[in-house]
Amino acid sequence: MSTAGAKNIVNGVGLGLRWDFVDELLATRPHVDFLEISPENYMGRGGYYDEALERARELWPIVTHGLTMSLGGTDPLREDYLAGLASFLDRVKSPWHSDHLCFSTFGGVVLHDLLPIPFKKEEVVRVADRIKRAQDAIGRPMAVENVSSYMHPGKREMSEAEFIARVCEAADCGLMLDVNNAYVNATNFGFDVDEWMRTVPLDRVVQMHVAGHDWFTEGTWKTSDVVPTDPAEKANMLIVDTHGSDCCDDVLALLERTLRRTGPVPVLLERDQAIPPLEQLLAEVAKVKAIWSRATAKAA
Amino acid sequence: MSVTPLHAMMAAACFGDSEEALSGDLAAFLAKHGVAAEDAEAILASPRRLGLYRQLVRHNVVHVIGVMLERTRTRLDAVVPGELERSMAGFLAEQGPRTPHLRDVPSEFLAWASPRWRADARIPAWLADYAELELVDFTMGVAPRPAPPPPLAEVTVNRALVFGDPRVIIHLEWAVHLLPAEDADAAPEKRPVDLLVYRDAQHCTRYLDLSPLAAVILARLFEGLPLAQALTRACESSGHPLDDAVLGGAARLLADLGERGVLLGAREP
Repeated sequence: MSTAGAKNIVNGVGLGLRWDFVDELLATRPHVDFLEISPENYMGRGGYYDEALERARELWPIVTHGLTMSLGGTDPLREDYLAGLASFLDRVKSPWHSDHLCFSTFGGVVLHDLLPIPFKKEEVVRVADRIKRAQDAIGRPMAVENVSSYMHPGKREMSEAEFIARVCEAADCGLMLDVNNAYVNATNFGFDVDEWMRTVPLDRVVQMHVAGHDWFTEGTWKTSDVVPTDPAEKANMLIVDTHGSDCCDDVLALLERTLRRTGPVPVLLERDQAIPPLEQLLAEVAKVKAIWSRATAKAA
Repeated sequence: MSVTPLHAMMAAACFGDSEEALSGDLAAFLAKHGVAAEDAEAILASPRRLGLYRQLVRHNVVHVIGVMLERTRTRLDAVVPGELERSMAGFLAEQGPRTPHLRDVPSEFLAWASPRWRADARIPAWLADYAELELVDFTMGVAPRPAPPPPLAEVTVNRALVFGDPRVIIHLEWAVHLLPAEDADAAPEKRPVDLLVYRDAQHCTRYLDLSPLAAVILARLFEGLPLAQALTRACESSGHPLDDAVLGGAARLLADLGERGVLLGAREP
């Protein structure tokens, strides 16, 4: 059965809409609390997938999650992009819009990926100012997402968690808390992820993401089928945020611990590579929903 | 201290021709991009992962181009193996994507690559036309939704016609649209081709091979000229008499376009 009836309420556990399964999703109308889409995939386009989005909008609440705002960039924010985004958000009635705390443009070139920004004091004000301007332009509350990163570009003047807290405070914006990204960074950089969670502003979390990741070998950057277990193995490997596998138990456990502290905020399962059959994805959504229900019941 | 040099350095690491620099003298690479001493020191003291970013960023862009130009890659590889990869590397190094929409990157790439392919004697002269046709199949399929048409009237010679969107007339130097998909060795006939490309009600991209005169007539109609004026102007510019054959052909063309859902009617006076 569909969840039509709760069209404007975004909570519970949702699924990132992907073209790989949109037809099946629309045909079977399974129970999913909400869908998340990337506006970049739909803005300024028509045709089949645009029509599919319209149909999905009738059945599920939609939230939007952007990819190319480049909130941490030094290029000016793109006015044409923001204007198109504002119009698109009006159309899909997203209650908020999120994008990443990273940069993805430089010198007019769009890198189409999420590159890390340096955690420097001066950057807090500059990035917060861009978030505020973007928020004004789109006419909706914004949330910024913590990204996975594999190196810190330059000298670090504060921790990632502290940087996120300061930026959210200065911009007075929401936090799109990506639990997997926090786990990936904690593993790759060797910090305590629970301490990280105690530092970021959990009272500003409007939504969370969970996803799977893969282990890569340092230097060759090839994926490994083996998940390292001992420190010696891990020393030569790192986790890459591929969204290409199921959520691991550690990430789900971290999600549960975090939900107990935040209370019932919406959680989204992301999957972008090696996308399994829809039935399998929905089983994972159900697994996350069980965690969500358990954790938020305790929180309540 | 501005972070601009750090961003510039990372962008160059991802798209610039710097793979050897990244794996070689990283200090020199950082200095070349004006990275401050304290930042360079921190980067040099960390695991070397600029190469990972280079791999991840390039993969996203190269993947979407490869997917949308899959048939072009097959034809290109048959004559100059690896050329698509080299062209993509050249595009990334010299220009890079400018669009925030990943789906539009292949069009930017082709606009960069086409003149280079046309000037390259190793590459078949028709390959750029072939790639353009392959890409238009996708771009037409996802072109923005049309605005609602104006109030419609019956078609008469004194009225401008109303056509459904999206649609475009493309001009090719080779009949690449007739190449059989299953025969990678076949070469197209060299002749000017005018194709009407449009999206049908089922969101599929469709093609109609036009005669040269039909293409000119349709282009004038697309400009908004009334039917009679479009016929007259098209015949004048083509050096063709406006005779019964032309009138009959135009009538058949418009009837065909009506059946295809391309011609919607005429603009109300």
